[in-house]
Amino acid sequence: MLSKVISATIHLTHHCNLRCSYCYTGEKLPIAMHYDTIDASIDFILNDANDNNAKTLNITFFGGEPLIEKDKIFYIIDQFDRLKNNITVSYRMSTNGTLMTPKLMKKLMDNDVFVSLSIDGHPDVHDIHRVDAGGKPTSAKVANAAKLMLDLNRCTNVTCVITPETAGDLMKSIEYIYGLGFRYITTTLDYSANWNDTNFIELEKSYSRLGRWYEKMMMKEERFYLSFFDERIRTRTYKPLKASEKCGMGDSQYSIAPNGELYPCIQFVKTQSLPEFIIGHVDSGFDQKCQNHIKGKTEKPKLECTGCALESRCSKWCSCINYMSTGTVEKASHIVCHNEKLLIKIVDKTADRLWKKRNNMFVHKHYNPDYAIISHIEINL
Amino acid sequence: MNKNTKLQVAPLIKAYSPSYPSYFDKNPLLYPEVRPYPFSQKFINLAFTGGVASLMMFTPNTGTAQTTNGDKLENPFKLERANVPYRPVMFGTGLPSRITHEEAVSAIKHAFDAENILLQENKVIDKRGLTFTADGYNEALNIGFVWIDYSNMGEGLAEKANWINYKRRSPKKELKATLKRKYESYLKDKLDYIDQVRYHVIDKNMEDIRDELRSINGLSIEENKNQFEAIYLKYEILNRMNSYYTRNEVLLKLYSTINTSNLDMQSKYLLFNKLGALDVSRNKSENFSKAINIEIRSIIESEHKTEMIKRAECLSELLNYKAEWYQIRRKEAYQNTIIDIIKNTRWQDWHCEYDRIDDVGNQIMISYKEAKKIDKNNAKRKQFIAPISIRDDRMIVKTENHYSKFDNVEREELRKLYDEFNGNTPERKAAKQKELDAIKIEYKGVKGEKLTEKWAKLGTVRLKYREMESMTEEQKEIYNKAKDKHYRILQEKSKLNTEKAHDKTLKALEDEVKSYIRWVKMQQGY
Repeated sequence: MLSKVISATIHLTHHCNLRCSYCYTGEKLPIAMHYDTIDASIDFILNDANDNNAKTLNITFFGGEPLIEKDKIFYIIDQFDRLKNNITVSYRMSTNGTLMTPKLMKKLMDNDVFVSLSIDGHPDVHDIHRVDAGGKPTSAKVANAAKLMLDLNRCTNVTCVITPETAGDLMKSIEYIYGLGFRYITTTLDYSANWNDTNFIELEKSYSRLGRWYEKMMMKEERFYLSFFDERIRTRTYKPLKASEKCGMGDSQYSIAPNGELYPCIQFVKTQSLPEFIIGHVDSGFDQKCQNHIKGKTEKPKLECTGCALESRCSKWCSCINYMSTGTVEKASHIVCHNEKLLIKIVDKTADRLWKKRNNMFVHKHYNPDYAIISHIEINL
Repeated sequence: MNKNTKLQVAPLIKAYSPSYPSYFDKNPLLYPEVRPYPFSQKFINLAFTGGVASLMMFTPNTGTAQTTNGDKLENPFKLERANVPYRPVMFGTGLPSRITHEEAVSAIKHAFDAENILLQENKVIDKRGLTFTADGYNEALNIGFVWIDYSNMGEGLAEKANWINYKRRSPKKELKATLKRKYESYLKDKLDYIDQVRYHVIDKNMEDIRDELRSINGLSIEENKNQFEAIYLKYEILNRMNSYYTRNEVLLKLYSTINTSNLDMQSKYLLFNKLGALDVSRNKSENFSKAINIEIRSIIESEHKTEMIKRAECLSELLNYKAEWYQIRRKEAYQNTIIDIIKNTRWQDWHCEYDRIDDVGNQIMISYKEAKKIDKNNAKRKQFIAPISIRDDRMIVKTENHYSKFDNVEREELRKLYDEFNGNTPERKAAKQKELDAIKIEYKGVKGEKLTEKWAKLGTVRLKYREMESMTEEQKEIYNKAKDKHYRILQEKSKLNTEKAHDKTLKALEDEVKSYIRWVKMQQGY
């Protein structure tokens, strides 16, 4: 039997030097996690791992901007190294890149922290939403950060948020990001935004262009990962995920707020507490009743999706997305619904074209379980 | 927080159907040929110059250039693909259509023929703690297959659903409870009860039962109850007998003979129920039915009625033995064993022969435990019999019936023709819609009687406009011809699609069996 993997996200601070318009974490206040809370969090995570016989721990540093509290990152890593025993701990971090320095990136790499950079794409697009506290654009700083991060790790991941305003520029953004040298691109929609039909028409056009681009890159035998396309193809080429594999909302996955409160997912950690989603505290442990209550709510079948031909392939199960766009975890998100319908169709048509050409890269990328490792090595060369 | 009201979640009824392989198709890395990984030049240079050539070998389970064809073959009929144990459903509506036993067996045999492997049909395998019948087996090559479907799924292959666990009361207790329930229902509303009886009366001659029920007029409650029960039982017995009027003449004769015996009504009723097993006219072979009917005739001719009843009961018990193995009743081996027992053993000794039925059942049925053992034998290279299950997703016939744009245009044309012949101008249609909408708005959200009123009003409007339609007989004929032609084409298309899907599924099965044979040969060192 495989041992359980525990994923814990530590929110080091509520503070951030940027003021991204779509940020869901609330007001930016200089509230950081205290060293006592950090120690309690480490104890809590290790105890939970032992209780669950988990041999692997995924620790993610999140914020606000985690690099504001960079010393605490290395303190936590030192503590885990000292206390982890036989448990394998891997570290990830998400940053806006503006505080990144070569020395810091080197230190993060030396400590095996996998860093993901938030960048929305072309400067024209990026600067619409991602501005600093004074309202100034940040694209130049982020481009610098991108360069120094890629110099040290060519497999650095970027996260790109698509909003109704930038939906039409998606192709431009992906080309820009790819041009910078990134090969792992995670895209996501701003699910809290006010999407309408016109935005989706724009998005559909962008997806179609992206489909042609994806096809072109595959024909050139390029190694890259584009989450919107690759994950959708995966829903057909791999067995549908079991409920337990999808999301461990508050079970094998949880987030720790700077004040030590436990939440089922990062999206619920805000400067202002969300009492209905607190599932415990690092000092007192999990509140089983709250956990079960949330689990009961999230696992309810989405009746509005009954009979949908894409039910097994769509990501309507993601509770935090549902919460962001509908205000409740029980209802499927209308944005997800529209997005999946148009995206899956375009993705499938793109994949069909590649399959008809019997594109070798396509076949290996989607049917060879070792592709991820081989391509990782190849990208790093 | 966004509360967008314009966009709504709506299920997609028909999605684009992609053609690239899904997870349940064959792995395109391996089929039709192994595909080497397109290593980048940089990687190859590094591998050869940097002394890390071993890196290129680290994909042992994929179709890389460094691996051989044989290494990639896998057993395509592992038990995990069989989708057992499965949960049976009470209703079949909406379930996917699957290939039949005959189709599957023929496709599988075709694959074995193509590989020049001769199979012995219905070979009983009885070794290594396994007893089952392989649909095809070649002893010399130690290869074969067994088709697992609802007719041979034994213990553990189907999950027990709640309705299966339902425990029946003894027939006597059941009858007592039924009589009590019926009498209470009769007392509650006598006229209604008597009125309802007519729906259950099979034969006109039985209508006097309703008169009998009307005439119940005993001196005491107990007497009334007894009278009711006697009528009820008489009615039920007649009903049972009537159900055999056309179906089984011999059984009817036996029932009639028993009906004239001195048994009381309750015993007769219980006996009739018990003897239901003697009706073998359905789903059994002609030979079997014939043999049983000959036996029933001989029973009827018994000298004494007591002996006749006993013999009938014995035959019923024999035919009802191991009722839970209802699937084996259709199998030839079972029927031949029963015929043999009846012909060659005294009826008093039939119960001593039940072991033989057990043996036949064990040979036909496959339990989950046995299926696991068959699978294990494959993995351990002891015996290569592929357990091919009807529950396997690959046995699903995926029919795709799409209406093309052309079909929709044709349907629209038909609609236009209908409107033209009937004088349904756009103005008239708009007026009709307006009237209907007005009613719908007026009665929005109503319930009960108001709802009936709404429907009546809607019906009146529709009727009014239908009466305005003026299609002549000649036009009707033209329209009907066009309509028939359209639907005939659609039907033919649908039939063709179904046939195509069947062929595709069977072809895929045949290919999988060929892969299995190749895999077995590889395991055997060929």
